Amino acid sequence: MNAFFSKLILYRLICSIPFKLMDKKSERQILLKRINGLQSALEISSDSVEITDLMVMILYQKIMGYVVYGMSFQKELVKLLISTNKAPEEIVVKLNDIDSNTQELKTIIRELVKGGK
Amino acid sequence: MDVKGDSTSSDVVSVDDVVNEIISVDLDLREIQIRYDSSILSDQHESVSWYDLDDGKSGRLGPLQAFCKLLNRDKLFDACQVAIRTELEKIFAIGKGVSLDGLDKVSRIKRATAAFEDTPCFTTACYALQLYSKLPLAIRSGKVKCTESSLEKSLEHEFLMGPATDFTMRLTQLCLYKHDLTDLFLFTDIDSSHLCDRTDLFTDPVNLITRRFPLWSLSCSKLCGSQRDPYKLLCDVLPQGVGQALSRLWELTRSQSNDPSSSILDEFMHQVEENCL
Repeated sequence: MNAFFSKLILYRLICSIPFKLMDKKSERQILLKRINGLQSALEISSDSVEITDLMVMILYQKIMGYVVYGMSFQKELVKLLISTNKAPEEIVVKLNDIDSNTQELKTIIRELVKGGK
Repeated sequence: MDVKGDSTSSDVVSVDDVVNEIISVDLDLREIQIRYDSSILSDQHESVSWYDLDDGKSGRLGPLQAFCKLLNRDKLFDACQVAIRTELEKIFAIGKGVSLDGLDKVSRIKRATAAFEDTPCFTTACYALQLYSKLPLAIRSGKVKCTESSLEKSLEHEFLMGPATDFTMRLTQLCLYKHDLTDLFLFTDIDSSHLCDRTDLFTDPVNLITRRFPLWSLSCSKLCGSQRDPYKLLCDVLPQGVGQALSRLWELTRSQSNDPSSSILDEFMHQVEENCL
């Protein structure tokens, strides 16, 4: 990944458009747009795998401030989220058995996103 | 504008032309320049050539001549020459009756490039790279404590195969489009075995709520022999620096890093901030 980023410097030579660095304001805007998009997708989804993916994506962004996407190693990601001690207790309890607590988690997440905590 | 018979392209617009143009539109700069050297307004004023600026034959330079000296650099000069040559080629193409194709192509490329530069596309693609790389970087730097040693590698691998490959694909398609080489390469989503029949995916907005990035793979089309190494072909058909850079990006998205050092990435981020702001 380091080497990939190093090569991106050459990007300016490739198409003469400078690589756009993200400032705090742009980051806030794009993250707000993303969380709203994820929440909307979660509300209308009926696919259990998709729902779980979306919940993890939302929780990572809201609680940890990091952006992840539906990955094959989701269990490890959930473990990491729990181990950071940043998630509220009620979420940690539900995350330990995420598949059985989908509905409760959806409600908590809805409040979390709505409240902008 | 005074065009001399034996003038070179650098004399077509003289130093005085530039200085006079500036002082005609900006009164403050006019005052500064005249305070230093009022002779520029006189008919007897001895003009300064671009070569004199570099040779130091022009004596002490006024502020606006000094500004012109800064402009008179090889890099900028080369860029201007390329731009002029491109415009001249367009004009000659029109004169030779190839205007429709030529202009169609030029406007098509301009439209595609403008769409690529559009915020939901290129800017978001740049932001996506920075956002998705944050977690693996934070784990590597120890900012996020992670007991699963394999998770950092998995995240890095996922980053290279997902957002990084998506970015590289967009960049490659744009360059192929610009150079009219889209027939030579194929893009396939390995996961779904879907062969992409579009050559302008680079204009699509980046979807930041996606759960899955297509796993793009680059190959050569039958036109140039499907067994050929696509990365090498990029180097062969695109301008030297462009082909090599793209080829290297593709190789990196497919490489497995064994180097635990984080210094290159830190250095890179520093350089990006230094160079791109």
